[in-house]
Amino acid sequence: MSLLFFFFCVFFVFSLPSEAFSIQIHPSPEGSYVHLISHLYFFSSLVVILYWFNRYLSLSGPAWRYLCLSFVFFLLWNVDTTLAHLLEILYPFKDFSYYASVLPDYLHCKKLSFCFYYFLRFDHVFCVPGMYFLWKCLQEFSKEFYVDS
Amino acid sequence: MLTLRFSFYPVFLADFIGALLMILFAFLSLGTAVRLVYINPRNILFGYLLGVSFSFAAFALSRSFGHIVHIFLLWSGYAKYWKHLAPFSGAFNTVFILLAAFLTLIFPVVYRLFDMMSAETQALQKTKRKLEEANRQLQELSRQLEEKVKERTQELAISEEKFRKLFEASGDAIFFCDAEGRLRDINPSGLKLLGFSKEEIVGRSLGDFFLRKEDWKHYKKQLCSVGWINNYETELVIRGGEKRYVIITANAIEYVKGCRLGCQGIIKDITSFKEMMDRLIHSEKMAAVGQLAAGIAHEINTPLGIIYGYTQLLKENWPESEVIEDLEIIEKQVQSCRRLISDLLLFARSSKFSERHRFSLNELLEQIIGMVYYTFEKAGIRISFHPGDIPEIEGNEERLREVVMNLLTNSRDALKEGGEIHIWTALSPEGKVVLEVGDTGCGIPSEIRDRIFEPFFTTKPPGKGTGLGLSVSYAIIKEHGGEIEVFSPPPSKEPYLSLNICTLFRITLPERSHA
Repeated sequence: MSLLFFFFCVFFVFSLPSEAFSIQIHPSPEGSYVHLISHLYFFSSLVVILYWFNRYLSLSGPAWRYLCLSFVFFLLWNVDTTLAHLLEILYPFKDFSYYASVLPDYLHCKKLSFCFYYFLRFDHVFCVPGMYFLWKCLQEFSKEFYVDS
Repeated sequence: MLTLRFSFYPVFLADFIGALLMILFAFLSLGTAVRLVYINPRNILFGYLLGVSFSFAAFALSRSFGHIVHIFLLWSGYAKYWKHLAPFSGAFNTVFILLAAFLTLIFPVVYRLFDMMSAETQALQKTKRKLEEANRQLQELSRQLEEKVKERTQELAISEEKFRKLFEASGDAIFFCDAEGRLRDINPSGLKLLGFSKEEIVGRSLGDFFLRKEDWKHYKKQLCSVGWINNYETELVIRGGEKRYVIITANAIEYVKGCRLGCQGIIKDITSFKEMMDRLIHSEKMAAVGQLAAGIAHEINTPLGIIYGYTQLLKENWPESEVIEDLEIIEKQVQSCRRLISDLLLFARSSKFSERHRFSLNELLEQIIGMVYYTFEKAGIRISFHPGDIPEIEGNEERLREVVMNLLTNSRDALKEGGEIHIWTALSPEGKVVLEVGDTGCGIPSEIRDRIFEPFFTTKPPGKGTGLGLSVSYAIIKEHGGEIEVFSPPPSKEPYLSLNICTLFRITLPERSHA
């Protein structure tokens, strides 16, 4: 049965040479999707590692606290950016932005989601503290290591 | 409808400042992580944090520069260039987010693997340390054991040497038997006692040397039942059939119920002691009998003298009387009694002889043999004299003649159907003159051998002997400071064996009498 199916597939592929998918051409929105997926992937990884930290490691001390804080902020950042990218895909915000010069001047919030998008643009509120706490975490590890040494 | 308007300038400002701060903290983190990994390269967490820091640094550089460049390009009127740069910036951003995500997702797995490997490694190291410790302890134990073995070996060698010397130099026989009672080892004194070489004796049963088999049975029974035997007195037969009085002290080597005969013990030769004791007992007995005889002789001698005197007086007063014959019979019997008393007194040493002079014993013996030769030859008895090179001795010749005559008379009585009498003289290694008289007669039974020197002891029929001959001879020899011994059978050696001598009297006399 499986052998018959294999020969059927081979026949099907060779009968449609014009539709061969050896090299796939990626259209424009694909980059945005990939970027969006990468944020989701990072989000999932952070959820897993935070769960793992909580479940399997009995952590104590400022270094671990800073690391967890950093991951929480990066988690929020990923939520923020994922939503922002999702709204960018859904809505052409350019059409609702008014330009005084080359830069957009203001956003006309015709919908509530537009307002939400505006605030989502302040993603540095999450990623900068996340990065700061990661640095603090490393600093604490350095101190602990030197103390231990 | 909402009519709210939100200015983009706060967004641009936040992007600009945030981008700068992101770059700053990302590179600070990267630098710290690099230092941590440099210092401790085996730490998996630091490795992970380095990877994440690198991803964020690259991401921050790409994204933040992207933001800044974007703003500047828009401001400077070159917005069209941003369209070319934006995909690169976005692609780099995606790649580094994916890298950070991948590292974060993979970290727990790697950490656990590393942890397991670390635990395994620690367990292996712990096992290795334990093995090393065990090996060290083992080596220490081995060293201590070697030292102890060396020490014990030295002690054992010293002990072995000590006991070997004791074994070799002991004056008593020391022996070891196996479970079947066969001799396995015996010291030189034992070999000397039994008269065999070690090759001849090892493997032979100890029981072969016991004179009486019942003694051997008793010895075995005692060892089997008790496990030891102490001062067991018995007689052994040595090479040549000679007897040795011995006392044996032994113990079973592995005593268990059911009898194990493996034993080790000491044999003490008490033959000389026994003979000395026998002689002492005999001497004491003879002395006691002598005293008794002397007392009786003195008591009887006086009334006999009175009887004899009155008999003489009656004979003188009535010489023609009809009772003269009766008086002569009384006189004769009294004289006979007086002779007997005289012999008794001689045995009791009460009649000391004072006449002593030097004479040749060989000449005396030749005279005696010449005197009795024909008489004995008529009775079928041949006398052979084997004179040795001996010096003259000092003593009473007549008394010694009486002794030799007593011995020859006894030999003649023992040779009822004829036979041979041999007489030897020799000088002993101690410088004493030895006179031996042997005959081929019937021998002396062992049960009476110790009694033949007692006065009035005789095996002859009544009227044939008084039983004083040998006791008088014993007394005479003692008066000369000598010894008289009887051997029946004689020692198993030449010339007694070839001549079939059954009884041998040996008289040992000092060259100069000191009695």
